[in-house]
Amino acid sequence: MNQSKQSQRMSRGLRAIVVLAVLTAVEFVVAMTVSRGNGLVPILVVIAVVKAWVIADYFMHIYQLWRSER
Amino acid sequence: MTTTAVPREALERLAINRLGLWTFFGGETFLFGVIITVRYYLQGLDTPDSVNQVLGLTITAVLLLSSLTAYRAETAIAHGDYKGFRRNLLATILLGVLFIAGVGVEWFEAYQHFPPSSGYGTVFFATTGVHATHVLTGIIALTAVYFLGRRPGRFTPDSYWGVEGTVKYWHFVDVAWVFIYPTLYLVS
Repeated sequence: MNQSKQSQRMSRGLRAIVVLAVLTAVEFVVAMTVSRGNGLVPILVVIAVVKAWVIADYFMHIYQLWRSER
Repeated sequence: MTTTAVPREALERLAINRLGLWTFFGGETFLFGVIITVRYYLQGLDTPDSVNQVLGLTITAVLLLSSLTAYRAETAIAHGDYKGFRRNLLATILLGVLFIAGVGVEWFEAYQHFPPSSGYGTVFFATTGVHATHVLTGIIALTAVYFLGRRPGRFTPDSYWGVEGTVKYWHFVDVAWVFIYPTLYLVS
């Protein structure tokens, strides 16, 4: 049971890293193809904020601040 | 998360520790926020063509991967998997060292194209320097936790704040890079 819970959490981490990898790839491609005048900076800001949220939620467990759990 | 009962006092102490750590992160956010803002104030949206995009992307991938191994280390200790904890923590440390090495290579190249005396060089070396210092202290903390973790009973599934706090700090350093990377490399 404990091992299964651990596996579930490990899978969750893997899913998060895949999302981060995809976002980073998109970020790079966008930067290489979209010009400043076509909204490059807002797009990069949005991607960075989403990546930060993924790390804060999935890896840092920020929800522990308001949820009473171990 | 453990299924065994944890004393109320321990949970309260844990909540206070977490609040304190996130408050610290709030302060660090202001620090990095100011540094990133200065980049745009001094240099606008201009980025030299000589910035090494491949190297920037590579060290970004290394740091993101280190967040995964750090997460796996914390998850392992939370479930009493001590081998997994040590293995993943060691991987995190090694990836952190690799990131620092990558920054060193970047500095060597960058110095030839935009030295610290130049406008962009000032923001580049200051920003990556402050971040690299945070990475270095993270590596030192992770190493300390690694050796402490080798002592029997030092960290248990019911008591591993040393691991949790250090790993959270490592993730914060990764979050900082999430904003630094596009600021220094991609905005152009």
